[in-house]
Amino acid sequence: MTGAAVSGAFLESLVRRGLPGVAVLAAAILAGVVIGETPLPFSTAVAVLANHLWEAGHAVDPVDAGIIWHYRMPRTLVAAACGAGLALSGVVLQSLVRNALADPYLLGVSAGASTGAVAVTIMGLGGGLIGISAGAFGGATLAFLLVAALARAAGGGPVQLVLAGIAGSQLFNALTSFFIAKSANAEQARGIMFWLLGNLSGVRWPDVSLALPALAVGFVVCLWFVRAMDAFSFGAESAASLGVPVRRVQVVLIGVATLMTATMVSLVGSIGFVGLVIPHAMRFVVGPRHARLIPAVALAGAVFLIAADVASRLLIPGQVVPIGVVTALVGAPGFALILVRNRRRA
Amino acid sequence: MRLAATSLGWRAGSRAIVRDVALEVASGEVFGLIGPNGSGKSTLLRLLGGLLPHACGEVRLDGQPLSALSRREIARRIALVEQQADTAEALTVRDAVELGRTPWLSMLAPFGAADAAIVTECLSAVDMLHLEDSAWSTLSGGERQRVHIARALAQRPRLLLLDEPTNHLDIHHQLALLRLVNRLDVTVVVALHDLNQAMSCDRLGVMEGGRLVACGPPAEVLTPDRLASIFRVGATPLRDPADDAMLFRFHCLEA
Ligand SMILES: Nc1ncnc2c1ncn2[C@@H]1O[C@H](COP(=O)(O)OP(=O)(O)OP(=O)(O)O)[C@@H](O)[C@H]1O
Ligand SMILES: [Mg+2]
Repeated sequence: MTGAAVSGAFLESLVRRGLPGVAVLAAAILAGVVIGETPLPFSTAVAVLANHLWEAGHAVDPVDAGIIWHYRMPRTLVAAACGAGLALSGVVLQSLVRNALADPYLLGVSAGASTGAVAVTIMGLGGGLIGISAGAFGGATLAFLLVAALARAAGGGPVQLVLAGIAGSQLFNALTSFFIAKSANAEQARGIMFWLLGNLSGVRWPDVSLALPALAVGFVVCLWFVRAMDAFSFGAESAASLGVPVRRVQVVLIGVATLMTATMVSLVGSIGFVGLVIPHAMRFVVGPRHARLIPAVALAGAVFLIAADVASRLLIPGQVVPIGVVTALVGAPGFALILVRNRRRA
Repeated sequence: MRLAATSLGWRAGSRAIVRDVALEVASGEVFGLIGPNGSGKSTLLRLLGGLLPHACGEVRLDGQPLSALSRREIARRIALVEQQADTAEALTVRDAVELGRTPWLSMLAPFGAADAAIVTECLSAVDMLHLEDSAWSTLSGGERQRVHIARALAQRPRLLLLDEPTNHLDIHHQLALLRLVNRLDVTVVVALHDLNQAMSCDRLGVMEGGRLVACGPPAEVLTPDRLASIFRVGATPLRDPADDAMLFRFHCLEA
């Protein structure tokens, strides 16, 4: 087969599989924009988007236009990026540590990111969106290294990893509370507590310009390493004997998983279970091979979190339920299912 | 592919697991490694595959040191079948064998028809083609072992490292595998426990306490004295009247 034929077939399969995905995502984003306390018609939403994207010049009520463009659009985009990013982080961790229960939330990575973000916010170290995200990244990396080291010292089994994750989460949550108690005033504390549970209501365009690049980097790196992640199926040593530079792949992939988690946590707080439930559901649909799993998980994560955000706005009229509460309401039963299924297999 | 190892060693903490092993295997030769449990056979195989960190000594393939090759370049030359490797992923048999093509694939060279043909060929070489769509978790121990061997073959290696490849196989597949290994145009280093099977290797190396204590043609290496001292068994050599091949009948020494 010639190179041109190979890349032709590759492009064709990309279009055939990618287009329906893009369509589903676009529909989800549109739904996220029109559904809300003030329902807006599709036509208005499309008109506003057209005005902004290619200056179509449709006549729209400026209040509606403001709601759609300045509030709902960035909010929905960030929800999609968070969902995809957290779900991808879950797949990466599950593949590399070969543990069905690995997920940024359970392993304490999200808690570490929260601690880092809160520390930077309260202590006023550097401030700003980038500063907070950098703090979150530092905290997340520290948390992962601590949890991984503890799990290893405890014997390295799957149970040890989850237990180490619990210890890590508790430690970093305690640190977060300590920082808040020590330095925040009552108003700040309330705001931070609400943010910690996962909250998209403060999201504006600058957040989008952080979330989308972080996701894009993570997604491309994951796609680049799909074969390496497959090769980890039979363990790290087997991956090495299949030609995977294990150490480098671990550092790069865990690095981007941490980057995505930290960025998303610094923007919207700590949202649990996405990284656990979405990958498992998608393994059912597209199978365990990462070439298909990675795009499927990114798409499903994005759609799931948009839906969760919509639900969080509608669940209690006149009030916004933290999105982390919604994902936990769906995710905890999903987690229980995974536990039961794992037992049956073992 | 010619394999040469000099002063190979590896320690776990302060304990030396493999000590000062020197070994040469000629191109196309089938070299058997025998020795009691814990004597360091598996560790030596992993050292030969360059898989252990902080190893002493040097391994050369056709004169080229392993340390000068990338992991990917090594995986195109050497395949290892481990003693036990399992997965919780819901892979099919064909998925597992396709993993063997990993070192040959990249973004610009995706999995293609030629790779699929190699996978099919390797599946049928170990008599697993009829189960190619089965889930890994539904396979028996021997079937898993055959899939591992197919995966190693799919790497198209020139040196095959096999760690007790026959220990789960029924007698038919044991003999079929040994015949396959002998026929392949690759260099093979195989750890074995069945000393009668080891007789079919070109040469044998005997491991004891992490050292290679003897090396040579099977009939020279497997002397009654050595079997008594290292393997702690008595052995009566017998001749098969059909082809005059030598084989052993073992009995306990202590009893
Ligand atoms: N990572 C390790 N850490 C500590 N000890 C190890 C490690 N790997 C192997 N050993 C020890 O080294 C010794 C040799 O192990 P190895 O697996 O090489 O033996 P073997 O000859 O393959 O045995 P068997 O016939 O049972 O397969 C064993 O006593 C084992 O406990
Ligand atoms: Mg062994």
